[in-house]
Amino acid sequence: MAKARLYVAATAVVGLGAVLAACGNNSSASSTKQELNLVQNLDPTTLDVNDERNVSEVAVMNATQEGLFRTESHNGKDKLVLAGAKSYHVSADGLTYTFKLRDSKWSDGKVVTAQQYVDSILRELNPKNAFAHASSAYAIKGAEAYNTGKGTAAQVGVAAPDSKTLTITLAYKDSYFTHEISNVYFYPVRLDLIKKVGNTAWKTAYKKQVSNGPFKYSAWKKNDKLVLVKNNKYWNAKKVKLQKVTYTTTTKDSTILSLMQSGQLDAITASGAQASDFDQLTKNNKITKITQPGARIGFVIFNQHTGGLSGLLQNTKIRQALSLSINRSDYNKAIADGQDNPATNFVPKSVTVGNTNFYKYTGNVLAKAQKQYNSKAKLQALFQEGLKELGKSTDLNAVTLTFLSPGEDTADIGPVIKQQLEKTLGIHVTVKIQPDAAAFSAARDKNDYDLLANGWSGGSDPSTFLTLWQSTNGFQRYFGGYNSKTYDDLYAQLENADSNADRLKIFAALQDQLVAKDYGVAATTSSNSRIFVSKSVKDLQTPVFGTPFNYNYAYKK
Amino acid sequence: MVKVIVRRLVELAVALFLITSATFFLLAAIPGDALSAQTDNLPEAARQRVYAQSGLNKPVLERYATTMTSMLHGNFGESIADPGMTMSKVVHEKLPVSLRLGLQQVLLGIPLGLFFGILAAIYKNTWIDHTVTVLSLLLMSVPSLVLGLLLQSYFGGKLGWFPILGWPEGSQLWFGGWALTILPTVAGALTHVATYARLLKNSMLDILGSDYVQTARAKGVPEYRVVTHHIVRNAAIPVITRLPMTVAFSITGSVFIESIFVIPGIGQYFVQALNNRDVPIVMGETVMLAALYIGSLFLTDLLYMAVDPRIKLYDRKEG
Amino acid sequence: MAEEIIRIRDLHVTFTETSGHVYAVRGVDLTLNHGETLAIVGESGSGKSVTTKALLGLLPTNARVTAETLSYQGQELQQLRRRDYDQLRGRELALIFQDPLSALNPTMRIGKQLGEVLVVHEHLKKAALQARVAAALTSVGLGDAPELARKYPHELSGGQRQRVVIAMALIAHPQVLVADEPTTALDVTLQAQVLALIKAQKTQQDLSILFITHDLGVVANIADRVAIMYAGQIVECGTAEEIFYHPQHPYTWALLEAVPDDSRADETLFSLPGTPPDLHQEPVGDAFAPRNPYALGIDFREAPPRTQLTATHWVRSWLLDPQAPAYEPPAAIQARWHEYAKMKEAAHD
Repeated sequence: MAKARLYVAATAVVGLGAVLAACGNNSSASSTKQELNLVQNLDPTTLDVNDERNVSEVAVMNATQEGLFRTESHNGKDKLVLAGAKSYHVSADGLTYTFKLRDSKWSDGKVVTAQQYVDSILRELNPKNAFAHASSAYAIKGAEAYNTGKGTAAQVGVAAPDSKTLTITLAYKDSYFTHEISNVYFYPVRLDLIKKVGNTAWKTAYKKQVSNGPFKYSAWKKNDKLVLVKNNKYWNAKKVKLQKVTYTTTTKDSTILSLMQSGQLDAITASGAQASDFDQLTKNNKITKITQPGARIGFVIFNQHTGGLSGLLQNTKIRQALSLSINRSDYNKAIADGQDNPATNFVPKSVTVGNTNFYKYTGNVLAKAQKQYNSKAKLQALFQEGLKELGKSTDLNAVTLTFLSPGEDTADIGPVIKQQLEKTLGIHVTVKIQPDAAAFSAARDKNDYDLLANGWSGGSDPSTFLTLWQSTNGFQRYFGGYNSKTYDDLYAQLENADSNADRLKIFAALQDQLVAKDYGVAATTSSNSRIFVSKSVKDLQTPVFGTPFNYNYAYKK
Repeated sequence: MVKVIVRRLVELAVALFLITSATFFLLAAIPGDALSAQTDNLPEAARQRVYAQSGLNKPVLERYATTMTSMLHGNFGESIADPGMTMSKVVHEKLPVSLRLGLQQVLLGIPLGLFFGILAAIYKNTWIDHTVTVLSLLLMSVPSLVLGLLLQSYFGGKLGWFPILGWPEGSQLWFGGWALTILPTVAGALTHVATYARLLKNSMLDILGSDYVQTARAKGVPEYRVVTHHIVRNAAIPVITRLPMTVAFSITGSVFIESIFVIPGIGQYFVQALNNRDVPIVMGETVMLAALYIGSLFLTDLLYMAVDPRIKLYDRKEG
Repeated sequence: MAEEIIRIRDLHVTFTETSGHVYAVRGVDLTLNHGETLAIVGESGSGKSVTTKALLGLLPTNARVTAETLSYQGQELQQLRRRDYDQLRGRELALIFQDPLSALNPTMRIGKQLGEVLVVHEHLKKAALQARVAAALTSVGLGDAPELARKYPHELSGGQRQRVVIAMALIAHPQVLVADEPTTALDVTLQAQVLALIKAQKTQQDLSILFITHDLGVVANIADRVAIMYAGQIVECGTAEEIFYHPQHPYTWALLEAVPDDSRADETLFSLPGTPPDLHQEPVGDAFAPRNPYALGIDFREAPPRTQLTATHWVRSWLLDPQAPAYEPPAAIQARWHEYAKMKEAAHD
């Protein structure tokens, strides 16, 4: 009798399993549905375009809102195309830009006007708001004064003479200006709605947001997913083929891999070791791989706020010895599986000025120094010279430097740097690992470190990388506190640059000062993007700079 | 009986007070604060503004006093990392998710576990018993995190039978969207199967060998009645009394499973809040979870008293 | 002569365990007559409990039971199906265990446990059930029946529990009561009470009793006939008078001598050296031989046959074989024999 019960139960279990499997089967990726599935590592913290802070926000804002221009990209070449503006005209002296807006509407039916662009620029610059990217508008006349509290909003050179015309007056010629004004933080804003909802709620109340871009917000669950749907009121809606875009928030590599494998993820940019897992997937012929130069530079920071825990980092010779002791190609192999580019220059290899590739123009700025100090002995001697200058003992064995490391993602950098410095210079390096991001920030802000690793993704112009090292730059807290009057003065000369040739010269001088004279930072790798896209997705653009995917015209087959 | 309940409630209040105070001071002691994650991409001026607005620069004791007083009024404040997210929203949106996941795991795992436990006891020392024992041991040793990842990558990724992540929402929050819930439920239920199989098997073996079962048989009681009247009740005692803690642990302990399967529940949210040093959320969730646990313990005591007449919770009047 | 109510002939019980076979019962012959109390006496491990459990069909599945006869009122019990055995147990054959606390279900009220027998066998319902339960409790000397019926076992004293166990066994008015060391766990006063109770019940309900014990004092109190068991066999069986006053087996002598007796001058307690054999192997010859001061050579080679001394008295001992040499039992035993002779003479007069 017990045996019979056993058989009945076993049948029930098997039957249940079959039913559940059948239920589960409706998850198969339906290839004719125009729905795109992506992942993001962290959620947007805000939907307020002026307050943009992280890459997830850029991606989402790019899709739901629209500014004067849009970046399109084909075969690894980015191009700025007119979007919200249907034409523009620059005055002969290069100081006045006049934009004519095209006819377009917001998702609630209201018209997009030039005044909304003015509102956005002024809101970004408003010192009370202290938004992160205000300094990107400093080329505009009166912008810096207003933002630093020394001027008024009325004195800023932006105006909307009529509802379809926007005029911007610059303080100095800036050939990169159209790029700068195309960033999300200058997209038009609806002050009427912001006033109704309030600044704080505007950050997260996705239901109250309106869109003038190809998509609009449909749902947002923090740390879960964010869903966009097509905005039928978009002026170019008929070219937009996707009906829905879903971003799922997860950081687990294996989850992402499983998603890609089962067709529930359509596209991803992979980094480091993760990329080799995805390489395996391309073998099943359902996924294509795209490689193109990236927009990110990785680097090691020297603590020049205080000289670091060791007190040594304020000496140039010491920094030089450290920078030259890093074997960048070994580093590349260890950290990025050899997939990125070893880099000595701070500006990545993908950046151009006009049609000139900046790296080709400057060459390796450390070439001479590397030839001069081409042995361990010479590097150690250099380091010791630095020690002597500081009045410290020249016993290399007694030197200990502290490398501050966050607990997770970039945790493997510390040991690699440690090993290289110890091997070459004979000093000691301690890797201090912090349990989480908050602890890491706390330790860094207390200057409890000598070295740490960081990275920066900039735009298509060297200024987006070199501006970080101005002593007034708000990000200096994270970048070691480099402070050079020579550098600041050089940077100011950009305002007088007349042509791209002039700009190239100044940028080259700046980079040279930063990297090869002052050794204010040690670049390590310049990124290559490895992008994996499901073969069912067509017309997906992968810009080099800015947001990783432009799916405005993408569709699924 | 009333006296007992009142006393327990007082104990609950005292315990909650001590737990939350300890949590607060521990949080304050570790480096980093609630805003560092948010402001770490901001230039200096913006950072200053955010910090000034938050009041995080006040001294610890003052913050403690403010926090505790507002908590006493039922106001747990808003999340610092995620403005607009209040504890009541957490209870409304995230607690049901974890509740459903926990309950499903329990409802799937425990009956299966009991079934296998009975089998192993009845067919002691046969291959059935050995299989159940070895599998239980295996399942109990493998962490739910690993189980979850394995299930996800094999059944979700390779075979594509089930969705890899997500959880039902909206109208399907409590009922529906079953496909999404299967893998995470199974991942968590397997531990319960193992635990309860072993528990019931040992309990049953104890009882099957006892004198009163023999006596019952000696009285000519047919086997089915021996099982229902003598074995089940006594074998069930350790099982029943373990239930509340299992349920409580299921609801609160699914952190790993929630994070692998991207399920918006309270476990994962709690860990995140901790990483972000998000004091209001951490305090709020601590109160919630502590109350849940303490409540379960009380329920366990009550159950003991209800099912086992040998246990006295308080002095019953004899006579 | 009273009829046989239980007849056991050549009972063998072998357990199969991972350590091998255990020959627990090796050819037991037993008869219980209507209305009598038969005491089975032996050390632990002698096979007494196994024998009675075999009778009631309560042995586990790894026990192999074979017998020439194993019958109750003429009905053969071997090969009986569980369902049919259930009909007999409780209603005709009742069993009492040694430990009264563990014999009772700790989570079931006394009244319910008592009534269970009636529910199962007589399908009684509420009122009638309650009445019978109350009557049973009263009959064992436990007053205040309704109150008591609602209590749980742990709320009763040891003596009360044993009474309840007895009441539970007898509530359905069985024919045979098998009591497995019911007084061993009790102190002397309780022991006397319980024995008195059992005797009273016996008379009241016309019971036949199989009483297992290792205590000869109890035997003297209650038994009509006595069977002495050693290593899975009965070595001597007879009336109480015959066993106490005319014992023939050296093991019986040892048991009798082991009973403390303050008429004895010396202070040392008698104990039989050695231990019972390990029954993982069938002993060769007489199992008792290694400990037997009176062992003969043949005891080590061949098991002794039954020698019938009187209609009621038989022994398994080579000493009684005509070819055996002369021997002298211990002084105390000889004294008993002397008593016996005198008793017999008086009876003839």
